[in-house]
Amino acid sequence: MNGWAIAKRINQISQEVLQVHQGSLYPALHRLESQGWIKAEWRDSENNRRAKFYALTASGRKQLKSELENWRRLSSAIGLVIETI
Amino acid sequence: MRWFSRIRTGVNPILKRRQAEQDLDAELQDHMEQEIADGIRRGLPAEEAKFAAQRLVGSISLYKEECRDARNFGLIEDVVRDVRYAVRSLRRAPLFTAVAIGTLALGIGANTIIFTFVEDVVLRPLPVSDPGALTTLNWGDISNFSFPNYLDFRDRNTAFSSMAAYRFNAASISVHTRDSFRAWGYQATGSYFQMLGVRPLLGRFFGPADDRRASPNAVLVISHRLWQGRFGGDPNILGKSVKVDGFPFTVIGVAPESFTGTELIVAGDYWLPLGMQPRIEPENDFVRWRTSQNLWIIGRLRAGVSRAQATTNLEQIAAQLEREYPNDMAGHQRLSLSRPGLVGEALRGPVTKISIVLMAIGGVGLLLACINLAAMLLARASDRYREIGIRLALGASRTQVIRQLFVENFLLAAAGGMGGLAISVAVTRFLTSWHPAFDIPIGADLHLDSTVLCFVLAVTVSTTLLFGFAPTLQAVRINLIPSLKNESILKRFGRWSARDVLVGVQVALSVILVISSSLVIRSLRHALTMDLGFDPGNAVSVSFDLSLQGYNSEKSRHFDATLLQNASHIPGISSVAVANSLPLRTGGNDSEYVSRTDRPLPGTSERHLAMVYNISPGYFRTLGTRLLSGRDFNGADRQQNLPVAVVNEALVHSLFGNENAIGKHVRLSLNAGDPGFEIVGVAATAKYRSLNEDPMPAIFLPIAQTGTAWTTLIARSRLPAAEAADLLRKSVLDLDPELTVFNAGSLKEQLALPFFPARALATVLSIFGALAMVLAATGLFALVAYAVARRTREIGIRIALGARPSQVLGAVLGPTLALSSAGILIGTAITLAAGHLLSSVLYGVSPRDPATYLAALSVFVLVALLACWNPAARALRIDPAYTLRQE
Repeated sequence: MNGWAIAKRINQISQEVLQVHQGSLYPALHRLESQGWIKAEWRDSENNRRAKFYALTASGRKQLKSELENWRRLSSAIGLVIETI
Repeated sequence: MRWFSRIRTGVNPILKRRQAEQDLDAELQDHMEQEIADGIRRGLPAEEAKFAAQRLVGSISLYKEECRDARNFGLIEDVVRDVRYAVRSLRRAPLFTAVAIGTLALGIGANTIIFTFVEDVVLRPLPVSDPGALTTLNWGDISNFSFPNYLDFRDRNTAFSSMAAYRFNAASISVHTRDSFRAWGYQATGSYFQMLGVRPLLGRFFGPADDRRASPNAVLVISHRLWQGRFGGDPNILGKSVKVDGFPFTVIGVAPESFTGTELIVAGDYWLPLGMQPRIEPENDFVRWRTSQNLWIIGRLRAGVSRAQATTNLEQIAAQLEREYPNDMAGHQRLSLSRPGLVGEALRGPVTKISIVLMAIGGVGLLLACINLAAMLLARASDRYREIGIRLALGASRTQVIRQLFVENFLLAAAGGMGGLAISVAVTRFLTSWHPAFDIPIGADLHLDSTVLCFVLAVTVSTTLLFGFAPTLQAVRINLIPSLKNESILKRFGRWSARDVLVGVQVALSVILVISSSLVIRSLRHALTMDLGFDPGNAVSVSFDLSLQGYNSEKSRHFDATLLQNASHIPGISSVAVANSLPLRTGGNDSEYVSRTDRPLPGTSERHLAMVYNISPGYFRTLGTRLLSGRDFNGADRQQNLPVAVVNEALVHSLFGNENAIGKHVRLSLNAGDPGFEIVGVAATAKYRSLNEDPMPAIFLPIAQTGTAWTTLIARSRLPAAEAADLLRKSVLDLDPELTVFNAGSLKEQLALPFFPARALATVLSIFGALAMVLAATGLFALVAYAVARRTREIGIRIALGARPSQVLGAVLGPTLALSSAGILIGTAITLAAGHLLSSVLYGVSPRDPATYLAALSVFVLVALLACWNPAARALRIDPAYTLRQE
């Protein structure tokens, strides 16, 4: 997926609640890349233009898993706290 | 592998920076186009879609910046940018930059030279295997031992795995007839090379088997320098026959280039077994006598034996020897061990002391340069208040500003370091290539090596930290609003800032340097003008060695008489004499125990050593030594007549007190039956061994009664020294063309060696003193100029309100005067307190000499006033109408 598609996709999935601005998208992608969690390559896109495509790496997948777990624990904890009130 | 990918992402972008930038551009461009395409798909007109996309995308360059940060291109690129910025800003202030780099270069250069000297002369180990285990023996104040004592120490000790004894002296060397030259080298025991563990470059070194008393097969080792020079690198040198003082030796080996003997500052050119010494000096049988202390001893400690244990062991042997030979020992003297290479403690002690003083002075000088620079940087930081304020306001972080300032300081220090290195390279080159007119080959080989480079680097880095720290902190401790409004300056008015204190410290340090250098320079002037006991002006001499040509005592007496006869007829020469040696001449002086014949032999503690000279009639007149009473020798003092002597005042004083010594007898042996010499004259005491010796007894014997092989012909003449020396040389060669004539020249020239240490020290000190003075003056000047500049407005108001010139001056100079008087007081107090450090290098001047203090301080005050003059005058000329309108 290229940068634009990622932003679009997040926008769609979150039913247009989350709008990822380019100003945060690209620095974030570059940071992830320099951490080695995603890799990037230049390929032709469907409309025959060269675009930069990003994909998760193995270590990125692992990182994602642990981050997801963290997130679930945190969000369920917050959910519990908020519902108790 | 994570570190690897880090490095790759860290380094790659720099290597492929352009590629990365293009990628980023392409990626963002691509995004933009997709956004537009999406807008069109949603039904917007093309133009509108483009605007919408641009609004959404916003400032592309800002993203780029963030993406670069995210990729941590960061540090290196930033530093490169900082360096470029620093170069630009330094170039904008050329005067400041030049002064800063210049002072640093001088400071670092001077310290590097001193360090090179210390490293090469004091710290450098001998170029032998395991030099740490080698040690030189000292007995009391001297490092000289007699041969019998050496044998006893060698055979009785349990602390050393081996020991060697050697002496260093000159010889005439000839390869072909009529082609002899003079060289200095070692006579060493057979254990010498084995103990050192040096490998020969060619052939072999001699060992114990070659070192038998007057062995028939005489062997010789020569230095690399001699081999390359006189022998032209002859590959067939081994087995060649070479005459040393007229006796044939066979060359068996060539020493490697790095090895010039066991003394570091003199380069030896030959080594021969000590056993051969009777062959080349048949009349010198010092090896037989326990009282003839002519040898240096060096030993290799056994593994696991400490220096303290070895010293105890040697002390026990010394005590045994004192019991066994009560007449031959000088009394209870402590044995001690020292690092080899500088003639035991005798030379190492003073050299170390001088090195410490030099290093202290160099350190203070560098500190001074740093402080000066710090003060200038502080002033600059205040000037750059606005610039830094703007940078902070535009979003530079404090870290970035600090980093940038540090880069700037480091650039200054690095340039100073390079300059310092260049200065020290030039000076050490000059010193190494400089061959003073000394008879002894001074071999202090000063060179820059990795240790010195590390030293320069360390000094550079620490100076950066030293002078950059305070100014940098002050620069970022900044309030944005006033700095942008240009108000900052008035806020700090009236308080002592760090900069003011620095100037005070600087004044104190400069006072220390100026006073100490004046003291040493005064001491040198004392030394240069002191009464040597003879007058080297207008005197020339040439030396030659008759034993080379096989002269016996009878023949040499005849030769000397004829020579004197001939030389006294040379036009332009007023008087001539011959002697076996001259005062303050290096090497070859004998001293003997002297005692009165009308008293029993003195015990070990009350013996007096006297210098012994063999001289011809006319010696005192020619050398300019006053004869206080009695007579000079004359033609009647011949061999068949009564042995007579002239003694000096110091000898009379120590043996006869206030009695009249003329007509009394003294003996030069420890034999109670010796009739001795009758004293016929008393001469003034001179300096014989060194400039700062105490008055030393000396005895002069007529050459007609003793004879000598080593001869110096002295003449007093009004002719130019070179011409007179040539005439003397010719008169010697006329009598015997085969003789080697050396040391030809004026006595003044030949005295360069004893005066050298004092001269060198004084030169270094005057440079540092002048540097300190200049630094302090610029510091004060900058302080006052800056005070005037930052208070222009205030002074304008004061003048407008009717302040008198004296009030204005007071306001401007007041703080400066307070600071500099405090600095002067503190500096003087420190110098007074540290006076004892200097006393070891001072001659004839007290370390608290009031006249020197007064003179140095008044010069200092004068310089300070001059430094303040210009800016103070500027303050008086301030035009209130103009300054008030200015801001």
